[in-house]
Amino acid sequence: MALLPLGIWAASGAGGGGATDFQLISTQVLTGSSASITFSSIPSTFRHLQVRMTLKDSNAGATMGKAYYTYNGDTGANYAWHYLEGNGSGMGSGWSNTYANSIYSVATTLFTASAHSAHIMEIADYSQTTKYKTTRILGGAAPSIYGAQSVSLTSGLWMNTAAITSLTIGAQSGQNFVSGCRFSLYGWN
Amino acid sequence: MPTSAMTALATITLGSAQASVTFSGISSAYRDLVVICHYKAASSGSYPIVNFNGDLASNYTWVEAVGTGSAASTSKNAGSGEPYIPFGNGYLPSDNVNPQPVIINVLDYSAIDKLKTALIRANASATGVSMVTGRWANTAAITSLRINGNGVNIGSGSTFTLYGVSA
Repeated sequence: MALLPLGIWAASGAGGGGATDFQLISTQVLTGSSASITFSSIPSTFRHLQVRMTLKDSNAGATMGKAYYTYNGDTGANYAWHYLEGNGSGMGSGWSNTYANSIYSVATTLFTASAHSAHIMEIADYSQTTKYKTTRILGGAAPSIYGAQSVSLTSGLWMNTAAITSLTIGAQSGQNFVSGCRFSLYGWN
Repeated sequence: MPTSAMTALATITLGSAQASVTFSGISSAYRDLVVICHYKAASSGSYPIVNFNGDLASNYTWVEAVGTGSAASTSKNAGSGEPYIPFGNGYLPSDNVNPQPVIINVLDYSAIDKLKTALIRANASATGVSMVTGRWANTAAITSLRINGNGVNIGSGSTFTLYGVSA
């Protein structure tokens, strides 16, 4: 077995293989600004999903931003999330049940042009049709703007047992993701 | 035929205690790096640190959040920067029975238009759990990564495996 990022063990493939246990499904790198990106037609052939992202939104008036995500085009009140955040000065936490799940510690254009935040998002059992879908995100940014650092853990619940076939990740209301943001979707067994 | 997006590049297993371990000659062929450590300090009293490309100047900024079981706290780099990114919640355990897992992710490590951001998760059974994000203020591709015990040797038996993630 192999220990994959964020501590999830992956069983070796049948026949002593395992070479395809962690596969790239799709990568999107923005060449211009965009309010959101979508991974669609996600195959159900894996057990879990992982998304690796480097983000920045267009908000020039905030030291740290947020983003959101939804599944299968569902924008109903079918989501719940919690977060835990440290910014070097104080700890923060909160929760909500609402129309989308949140991503914390997103870089903004107040940062240096070449600075982005980093996030790893994992969805266990995304293709199981007997379970609600749970998501975990580790993210953070440590810009040179002293006092603007943020590291966070976020958990999210989508109250639907359908297999996830699409994932939309969007910048917070009124903002866009800027050019250079990267979103890579992986499936693993 | 499908190919794996995660490739093991190198493994270091310490046969004796030493001050640091370094992965060098890192290929730029991948998008992200992952280092999975099973870490034991040779003695107590410090926290490990990570540097890139031999840069030991104050070009790193970071923030950490820690839970000890009795309190949650957060800390950050001093002033404009420090010469490392720390991890390990104060210190990682020095006993021979309970080495602790540490996972270091560096996203876009080979992108020469981006500063480098690391995400680190560390557990220490004696002290708690931590999450760290750190930034190296350099757009150069990372070609070497050093983990240093920061005044306390890394213990014998500690293991470090470097992976490249394709995108």
